[in-house]
Amino acid sequence: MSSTEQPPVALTIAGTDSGGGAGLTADVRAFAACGVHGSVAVTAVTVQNSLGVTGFHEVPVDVVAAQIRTVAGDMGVDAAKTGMLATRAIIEAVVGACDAVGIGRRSATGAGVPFVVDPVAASMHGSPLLADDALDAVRTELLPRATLVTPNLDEIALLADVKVVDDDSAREAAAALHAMGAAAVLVKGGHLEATTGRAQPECVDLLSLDSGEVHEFRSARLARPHTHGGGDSLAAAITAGLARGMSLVDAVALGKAFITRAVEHSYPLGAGHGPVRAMPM
Amino acid sequence: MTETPPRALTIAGSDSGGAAGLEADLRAMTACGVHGCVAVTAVTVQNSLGVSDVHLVPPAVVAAQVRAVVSDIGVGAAKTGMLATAGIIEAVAAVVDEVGIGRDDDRTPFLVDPVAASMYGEPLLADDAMDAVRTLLFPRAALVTPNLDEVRLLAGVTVTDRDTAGKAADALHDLGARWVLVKGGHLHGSPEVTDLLSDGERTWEFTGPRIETPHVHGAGDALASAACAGLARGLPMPDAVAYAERYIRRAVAASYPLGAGTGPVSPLWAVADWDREPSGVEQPHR
Repeated sequence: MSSTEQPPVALTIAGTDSGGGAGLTADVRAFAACGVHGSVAVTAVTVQNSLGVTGFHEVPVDVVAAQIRTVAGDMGVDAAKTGMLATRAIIEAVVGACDAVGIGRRSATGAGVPFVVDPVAASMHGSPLLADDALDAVRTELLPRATLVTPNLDEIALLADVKVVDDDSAREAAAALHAMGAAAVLVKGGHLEATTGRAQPECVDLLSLDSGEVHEFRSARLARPHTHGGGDSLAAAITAGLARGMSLVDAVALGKAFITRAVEHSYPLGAGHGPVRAMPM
Repeated sequence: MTETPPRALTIAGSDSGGAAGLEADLRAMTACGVHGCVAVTAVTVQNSLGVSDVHLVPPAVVAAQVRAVVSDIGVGAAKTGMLATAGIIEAVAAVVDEVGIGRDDDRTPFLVDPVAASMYGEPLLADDAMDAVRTLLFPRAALVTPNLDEVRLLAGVTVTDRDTAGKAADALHDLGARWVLVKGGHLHGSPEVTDLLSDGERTWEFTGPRIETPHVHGAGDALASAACAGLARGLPMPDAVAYAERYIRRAVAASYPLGAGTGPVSPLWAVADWDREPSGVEQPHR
């Protein structure tokens, strides 16, 4: 029978992927699979398939901000995440709207709702999804507002100029991102094999909290070529966990379980990289 | 790694509230076991109370998304939602011709959901675009799925009962659509909901009890997406519509409140098992 209660609401501030594998399209699936209602603020429309991104259309900054305000003002937001933000102007509009409606750590209305920043800088094919001058805005505008930032190793190199090759350098990277203002940092080790050229039997993600606590999340490394949308899906599942009221550590554990299963059941699509599969948790 | 699932494409607008539009389409396609691709036509600023602003995507970008998807990923069926303007409709009509999506058996099935207004009554289609729906989309449509308000706008027929529903289906068939599904959900006061499917000669009726819930935002999108998923899975038309009718009843039954207004159908976590249910719901034929 139809429910009488509103489910938790998560918001993604992201670009669409016409191929349906990544971006907002992956987020909407991951939210639904993790038991929360997904709302969206579209930042950009990408022309994309399994081979890459061939074009994109930016949404005007006032429309991006209006989507955030209209969702928060009616159904409320229990946790939010960012994906592709494209430009400095969009980042500035996003943080302005988030501050105003109570999302993130600089909320005008007191303790802000959890804000997960996935600092998407490039597509998995290497196409830039962030203008050069926007990288500094990620550092100065987004990270100080972030409950959690979830960079992959390439994004860490761009943001913090740290090359992660082992546990020590992962901790060094986390410290650098904390210093930029992020309350918690998840260093995703998924790209470690490619970065170091050494075989890695496990995927180790390191969660560093501002209390100084560090948690490791380990899973067997799966030899899967189809991991498009993996980073988006992980951040979305963590955001869903936070929207459900979980602690950060529990939400990351949910995200890790979700993404491990999604990668295991990933599928080929088109001539290039297929996507991970969102499966109900 | 598993096999590539069937793929479907929605050409539609985004709903920031996440209840309708391409967000509803993606959830329904996922529940139906189909990978959903998107060509975004518009970004709406919307919540459970209504639509307050619309940003249109340039027609060339809409067409480029369709081309990028079909040329690489390939789709088994496509559907339209909010198309907003005559310019976008013209671009969609041209690109579906180009990539082989359309009405007849030699084309990938094209499902036209002629979205004219939001459920709150706000127009989602410019006035001059209604004529483009008739003249450019209907002749390319394997299936059209209007609700009763859209039937009145498109065919000038007010549906009040079985006879007038049949007349409406004939009028829409005459506009060029191969199959017509007249959705009776907006006919209030009846204890049952009957949707009428017609190919101009034969008719099928899908009747079920009216489910009492105010939360039906995105129901039309979800029904059309489930039918599109059924077609992408290779079902013949009447079976694809029957598949969608079963899905939407389950999705409406699992609807939920959201915000101060109208909540959505189709929470994925409640319906994700629906087409694997051993009893009551048939597996689609392959």
